[in-house]
Amino acid sequence: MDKLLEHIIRSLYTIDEAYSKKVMQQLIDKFKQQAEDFGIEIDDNKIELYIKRFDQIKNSPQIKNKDLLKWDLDDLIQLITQTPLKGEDKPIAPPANIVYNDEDLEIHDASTEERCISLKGHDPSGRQESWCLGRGSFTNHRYSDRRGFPSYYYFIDKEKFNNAQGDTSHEDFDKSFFVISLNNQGEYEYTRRNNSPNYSGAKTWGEIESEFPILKGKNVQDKVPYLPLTDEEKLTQQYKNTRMDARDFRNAPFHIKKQYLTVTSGRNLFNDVNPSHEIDILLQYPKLMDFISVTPGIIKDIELLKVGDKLSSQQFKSALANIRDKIDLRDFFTTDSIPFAVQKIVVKYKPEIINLNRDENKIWVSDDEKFIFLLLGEQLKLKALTATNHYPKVKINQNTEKYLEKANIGDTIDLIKRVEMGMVGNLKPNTIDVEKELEALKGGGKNDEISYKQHDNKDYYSIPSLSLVATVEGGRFIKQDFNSEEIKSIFAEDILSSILHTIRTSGDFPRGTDVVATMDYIRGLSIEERTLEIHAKGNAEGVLIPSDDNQLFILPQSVVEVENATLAWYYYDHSGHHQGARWYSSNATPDVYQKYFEFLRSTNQEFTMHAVMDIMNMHTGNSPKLKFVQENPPIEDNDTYLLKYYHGDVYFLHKTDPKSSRMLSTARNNLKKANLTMSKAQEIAGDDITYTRASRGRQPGQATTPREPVTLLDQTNEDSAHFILNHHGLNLDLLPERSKNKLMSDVAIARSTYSNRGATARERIMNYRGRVTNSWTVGPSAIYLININDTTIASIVIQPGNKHYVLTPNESINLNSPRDLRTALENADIINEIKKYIIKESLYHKNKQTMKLSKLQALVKEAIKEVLAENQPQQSPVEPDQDQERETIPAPTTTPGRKTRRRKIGNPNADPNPKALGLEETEKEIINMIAKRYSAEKDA
Amino acid sequence: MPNLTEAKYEDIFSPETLQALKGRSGESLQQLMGDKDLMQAMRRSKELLDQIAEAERGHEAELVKVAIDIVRQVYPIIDYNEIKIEASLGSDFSLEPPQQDDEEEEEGGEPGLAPNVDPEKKRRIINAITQGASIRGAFSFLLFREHLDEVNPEVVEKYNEILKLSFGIYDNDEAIALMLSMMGQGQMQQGGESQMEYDEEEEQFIIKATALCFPMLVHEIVKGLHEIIGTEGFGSDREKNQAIIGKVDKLQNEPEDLRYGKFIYDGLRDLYLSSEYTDERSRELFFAEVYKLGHKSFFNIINAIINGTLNDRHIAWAKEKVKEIEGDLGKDDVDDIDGIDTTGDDNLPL
Repeated sequence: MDKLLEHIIRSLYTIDEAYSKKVMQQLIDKFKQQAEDFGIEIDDNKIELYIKRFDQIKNSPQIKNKDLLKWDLDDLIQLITQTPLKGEDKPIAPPANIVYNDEDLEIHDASTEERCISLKGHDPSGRQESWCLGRGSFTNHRYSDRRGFPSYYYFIDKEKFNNAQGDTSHEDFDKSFFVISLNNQGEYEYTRRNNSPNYSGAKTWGEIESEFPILKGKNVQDKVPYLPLTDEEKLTQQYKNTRMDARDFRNAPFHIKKQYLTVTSGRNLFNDVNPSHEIDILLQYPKLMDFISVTPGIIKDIELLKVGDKLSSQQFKSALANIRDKIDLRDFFTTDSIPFAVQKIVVKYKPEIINLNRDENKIWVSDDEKFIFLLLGEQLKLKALTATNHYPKVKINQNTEKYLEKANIGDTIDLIKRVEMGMVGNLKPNTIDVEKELEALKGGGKNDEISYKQHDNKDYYSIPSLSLVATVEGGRFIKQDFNSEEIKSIFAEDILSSILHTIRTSGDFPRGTDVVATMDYIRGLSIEERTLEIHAKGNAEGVLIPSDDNQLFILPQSVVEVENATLAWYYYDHSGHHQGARWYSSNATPDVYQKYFEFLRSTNQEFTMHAVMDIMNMHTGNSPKLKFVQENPPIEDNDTYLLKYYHGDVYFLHKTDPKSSRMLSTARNNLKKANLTMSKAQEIAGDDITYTRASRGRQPGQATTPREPVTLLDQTNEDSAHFILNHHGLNLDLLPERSKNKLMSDVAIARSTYSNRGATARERIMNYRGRVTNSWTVGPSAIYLININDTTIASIVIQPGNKHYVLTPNESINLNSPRDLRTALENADIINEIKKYIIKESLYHKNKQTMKLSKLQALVKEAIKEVLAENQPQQSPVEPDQDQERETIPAPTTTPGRKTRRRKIGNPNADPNPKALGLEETEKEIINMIAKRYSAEKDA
Repeated sequence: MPNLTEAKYEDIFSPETLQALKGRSGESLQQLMGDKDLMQAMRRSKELLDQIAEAERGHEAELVKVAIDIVRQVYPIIDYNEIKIEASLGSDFSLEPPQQDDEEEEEGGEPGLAPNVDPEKKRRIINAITQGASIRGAFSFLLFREHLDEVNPEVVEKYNEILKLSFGIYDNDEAIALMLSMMGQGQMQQGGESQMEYDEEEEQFIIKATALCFPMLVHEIVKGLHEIIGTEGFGSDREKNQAIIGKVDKLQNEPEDLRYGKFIYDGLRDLYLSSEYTDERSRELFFAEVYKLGHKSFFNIINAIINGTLNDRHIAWAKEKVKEIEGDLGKDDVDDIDGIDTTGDDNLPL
């Protein structure tokens, strides 16, 4: 045939006549043979269907070879499965919702999970049916091979349903609503409304009717046919947790492809293709891409954008409209994964999907479409992107302001930031949308952060908190030197106000603040001007002290507010960042301590020795403690102790009894016994030591003299137990005289509660419901202050004598006798936790000889019962202290301090390497070897 | 070339026992990581760390105190033994490792060591238990979430997630390989580090821990505690101990120790739980008793733990040990309340 004629016939005339029977058979035979040869799984009907479909579409200009006899089966399958076949794209609709209805009976089709969920709440009473089908397990049942892929129907016996009204105890309840299933073997099973039996076992329809008489005579068996799994259901079942190979996907009919994408929506698609290349396969099917572009979630939005330039105009529009995920900006600026043309469209038409960080204020396309700009307001710069390059640091100045002009940054950046940008870059105010605001300020308007002054007929604007000032001349900001004397004089009041506000509210100095200039400024203020109410401290007054190296420390104005040796409440570092004072170290340089102590002296304030000892006992690092002492803090005169810094150690020298001196432990960071000889003490303190050695024993010829009466401390002495307890709302006078006197015979020395056995033992007894907040020793005796639910009590042990008391705000309880305990508890108006604590402590004490925890626990329970029991015996008088000589003599190690443990943990003879340290060079080498070994094993 | 002697798990355990460990590791992987792969986990960890850093900013000192408080309450053995904790939050991991004796390594090992390598194998297992205990212990902050809610109520869930991600990756072969490679290139970010020290003057152990964020700090402090307990597996010969440490305490061993250690720790803790204990302080002391066992007995128990073959004899031994420990603890408690010391009285005739 003439080629032209053939072309006309094939291209321009639709051949309505299908292939002749002979040709059809010829084609079928050819493709069957190929299927057999290549092992392609395709049935005869499908081959015939594909041949007919080819005949319909072969005149498309995209099909160049119109002679099917010259096609291979594989090519035919690829062609036909690109588009939907007539009819196959329509999913089989489920049957009607209600498949039968009469006066007595209603039958609902339950062939989808949605219907089962809906039927779960069918009862108007609000009852939720308990069948699993409506509670998220539909697929487990419907797709169960073991059960024969059943179809389900819900039956309602109307009379019984109305009678029961959802009441499970009603006699009609069980059969008012029931489920019948039919599987692919023709077997029926039922479940009553009470879900019992769960599955009845295989039944005939006759047996079903016997179980539910409402069905008899209604001939509804044919209303509840078995519904085989549809293709969609099969696909859903097969691929709900698995994936296809890409070649299976290619060979699947179009409607299966589409269904598969729906089933796997949002997941990786293929077993054998890297997820980043999945889209390349899908792009081979334009009709499928139509579906994908209008159906959100089939594949990730970012993957669609990456191929945006390969989509049709309509597909891209649809895809863009349907994007739900935020797009990471890194996909714009740090990779070329999204074509520049696509990026520009996204920025212009859907910028809201771009995930901008807090410091990325605006993104836009330049008028000439050459750039995408990203404004980083905080950093006062732009990032720019072109089709070929990325410019991460574009300055904002007179040269680049043209790009900002149409960006309308006024709606995304604060006024202060825009003005800052204008001042720093010498921009035109209209570029940054601030003309109106500047005019308002000029007209007398107020702004907390921006100040306006007119001087020498020039308009000056300043942001004092940023140390910025500029004039506006010729319609443009002109930046001025903020630190010039002239500017300082113009804006003096505003600058001071701004800085102090920032400090008072513990904010960071604004970015760009000239910290050195600010420190100079503060140094120039009077001490009154440097004393502020600090918000974070409940408006207590703080004083500002700049260090010589230009950090700013905020310290308590009142010496009694000093919490620890770091002194400062907080400080500003060299960058102007607000920093909490570190409890374990201090950034304060010695000059800060010197200046603060000078300030205290100038305001007649002194630390008490007691407070200094407390500070030394705080669980903080030693570095600030040493600085504190070295810089000579002002301390009230103290009769007992003398503070000395000597050869790197801190000593509290006992003036009259050097052996009772204490020193700061460098290992434990608290006070310990100094163990000083007399000569050593005198070497440290010189004549300040008033101790004189007493002669040993009785002199020959002298009569025995009575013991000197013990001198008791005055109750107003701040180091006395009375004063300390009184300060915490407790009254030492409640103790028996003799015990009280023992506690008043010496000063109370504060001890750290950290690593304090007495403290931790008491906390353990209380099961950590109460915390030991302070502890003191008075000679061999000890006081533990305990807080339980905001109530403060003291646990006191008196040595020698081994007497135990609990001191509450109202009374003291001697823990030596259970009888005393009971009577004390009768009248004690304290919370249960305290009672339990007292009981436990008493029981510990009473049972220490036969101490076994299991027994103790039983005793505690018993004691609590007793306490709570009614008809308590009458209160007995508190036993007076017994004579000291009759009391148990304590072991020599009674003095508080380290004692041995029966169970020690850890072996000092081993020094393991730290875990997870940085890599040494040799270890890097080893690790690389191991990594290679792993990789080699993996590859193998 | 340094001596690379390792106590490998393949050499320590039979194939069956190792398989049992691997099986549990697979289950753990799913529990901790869900369907995330290593890169996803690392990306998510980075995000979480940023969010956590933001939430923790300004609360560092408070959080350090809370971390120490939590560990002290959950591990009362710390107070009992007066173990000092020095903890901090930050990214400056600068704990100093003890001096390594390079010459000894070049010579091919410590000549004083016994010909068998049991001490090294035992040390490796104790290291694994240390890592396992610290993983399990890290989650103890969940018991005290009311403290953390005061800082930021949303942060607790983030803590939980970052711990799961951080520890979950150790259950994946491929992830370990990639991680080691990244560590080799210096790309792997550390969550923290810890170290134990012994202050000879004060006769006191010190835990030094630093971490990027609060939950990792809890993890590091617990690790420091178990490092101290782990030293109970050594003898009194300091040089010999250091030789073992030099061979076994290596960074490249840590991923597998983290992977398997948690299951060995779980088993040992279960053995302790079966002992009818009454005082939680006895838990760590019980671990110490296990570590003190001879090599044969030690591996007898460890193998039984992994393979689920603990018998009545094991349990009876555990009960007896715990009873002894708690007897001593009770006596010390009485002394602490009274403020006196009767340690020496234990052996006095009645």
